[in-house]
Amino acid sequence: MKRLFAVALGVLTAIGGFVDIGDLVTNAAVGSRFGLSLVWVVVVGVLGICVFAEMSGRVAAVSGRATFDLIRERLGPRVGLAALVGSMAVTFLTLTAEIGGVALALELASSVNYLLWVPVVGVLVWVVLWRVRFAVLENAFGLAGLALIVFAVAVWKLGPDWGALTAEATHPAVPATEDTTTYWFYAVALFGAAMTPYEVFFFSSGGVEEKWGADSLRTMRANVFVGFPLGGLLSVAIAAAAAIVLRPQGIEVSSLGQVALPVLAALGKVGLVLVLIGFFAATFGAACETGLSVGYSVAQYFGWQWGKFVEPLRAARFHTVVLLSCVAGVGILLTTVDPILVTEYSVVFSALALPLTYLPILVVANDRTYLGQHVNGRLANLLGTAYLVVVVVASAAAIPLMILTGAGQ
Amino acid sequence: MTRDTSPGRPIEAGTPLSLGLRLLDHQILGREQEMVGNVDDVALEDRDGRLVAVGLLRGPGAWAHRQPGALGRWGRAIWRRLDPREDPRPLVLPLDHVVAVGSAVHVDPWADSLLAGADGLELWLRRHVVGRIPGARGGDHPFGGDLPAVPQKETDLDLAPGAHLLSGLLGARVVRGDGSDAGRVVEVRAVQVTEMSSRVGPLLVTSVVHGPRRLGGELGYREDPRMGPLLLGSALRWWHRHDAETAWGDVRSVDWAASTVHLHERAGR
Repeated sequence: MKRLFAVALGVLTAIGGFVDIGDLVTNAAVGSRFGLSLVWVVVVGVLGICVFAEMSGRVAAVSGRATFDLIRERLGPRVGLAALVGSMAVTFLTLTAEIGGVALALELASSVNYLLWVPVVGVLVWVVLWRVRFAVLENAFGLAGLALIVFAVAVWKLGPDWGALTAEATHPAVPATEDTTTYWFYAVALFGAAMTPYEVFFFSSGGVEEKWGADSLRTMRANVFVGFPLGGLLSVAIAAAAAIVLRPQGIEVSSLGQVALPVLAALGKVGLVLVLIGFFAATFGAACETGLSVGYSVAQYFGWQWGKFVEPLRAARFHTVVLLSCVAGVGILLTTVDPILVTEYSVVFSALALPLTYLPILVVANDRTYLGQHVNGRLANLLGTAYLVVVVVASAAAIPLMILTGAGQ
Repeated sequence: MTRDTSPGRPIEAGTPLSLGLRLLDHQILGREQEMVGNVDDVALEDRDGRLVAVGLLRGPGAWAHRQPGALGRWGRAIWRRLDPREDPRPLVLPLDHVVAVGSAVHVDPWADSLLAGADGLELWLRRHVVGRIPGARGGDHPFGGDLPAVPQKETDLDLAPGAHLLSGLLGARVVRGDGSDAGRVVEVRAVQVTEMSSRVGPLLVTSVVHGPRRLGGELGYREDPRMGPLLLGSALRWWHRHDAETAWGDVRSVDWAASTVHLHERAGR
């Protein structure tokens, strides 16, 4: 019974924790411009993050080594440093975007300008990372993030033409109003939003924080293979809601408020309240995850003590990095840069930074001295190899597409 | 707590350990799994014409030494400037204090308190930054014992004069007796000098693997022919198909300054 509860809790937090500011903005933007013609990318991205997270979770559970530990070990200090700088920059950018997202959600709820909320949110995030226990942090925001299910309810309530939606999703084509390069740019952005590297840093380091062992593998797999796809379904619901309400009116998403519009239209004030709770929980939870992930990756590269399972004084360098990233994130937002813009760039750079973090995990998941009988099976290797190709192609295409399309304008 | 907390896999007697793959850049763990740094380099010594790995280097000095160009120079300059000692040198932990080598390198209690006490940056941040924030102590942490906050007096654990670094051997040019090029060193293998199960101790270098290509040599596909995924494994094994392993007995001399390994006439074919 207790085990069942643990599995259910894990799956629920995986669903609620799956969506972050990148998924919210990118899916709504794509839905309002391309309808459901890019849903296939969400499917590819969600399966990809499942494959990647399952491998790194398995390595963490069996050998106790988290992701960046392995990156340094297999790529050496030089290439490892390049991977560290790249993925830290992306994770930090994502942290900045999430803090901005929380502030924007608070602005929607309070009508107080988000810039006044930014320092408050920064302090709150840091306090949570400083003192709140890991399990509380992970579960509370994951469960509250389930409020985003209102997007699915809204889609159902709006009573769309299901046949047309399904046809668009299953027979993807570039809409007549958009050109092909823009379509592919958004495909890369959606892929990056689904396969953000920090999710894997956080997932595998969290496994070490929670002292997973080989007997945790089943629970871990349930989280990944049930929780993540259902979280991905939420992403699709956000896109569908935008496609139904915003696209006919020609509204292109450029603010968090517009992401919430379809729910307001379908469910009124109750819907709006739930959406705001969902926005807050999803972005705040992700701000905590990215903040920790910046610390995890630096500490693991250098071999420093890290983690919330020790008192902060014992991991002074780790907590200093976390503190500095919160301060710097707030600083960037206070330059009045648009948080939505930061989000859009962060998902594209995620796609760019992915290969150097993905490859070492795929390699070590095959190393028998670490994993013994738990090495990759045939299916894991088939998918792992296929995604290595996808990840490399997406990474190579990210910057050229961004330049060609002027970041999707 | 379900994870096997017993120290990592003991080295199997007689089986060579690949120093580049299994030791270098690995996490160092103390008695209670506390993280006390990374293996930033390995110290090697000449002993009667044989090359023996004697210690692990840990710290920013050793790390910066392995970074290229300006980054390495700046890294070392900053480290030297910030270190309170007159002539700072990276700390060398004798391999006698290494208990086991698995996915991490496990050290004995003496070594973990030594390593923790020599972490200048960590200690400084404890005293001046993190320790001053309310709530820095407490919580249910698993480690017992006192927390070092003041640097301990250095025992003499500097790199011995005449010692060499593994990072200087990896990547060194290999030249055959007839002067022809045999590529660069991609891996160094070693066995325990005295077979002990309780600790690792000095490791005697038995062979070097060298070949024309270094890229991908650290990924581990040379070790296990079954290691997948099939496509990646075959590609990397093909890429390294010209790699050759030469016994250390067939090495005539090592020119450390020019980072070149000279082989005997008959070897390296």
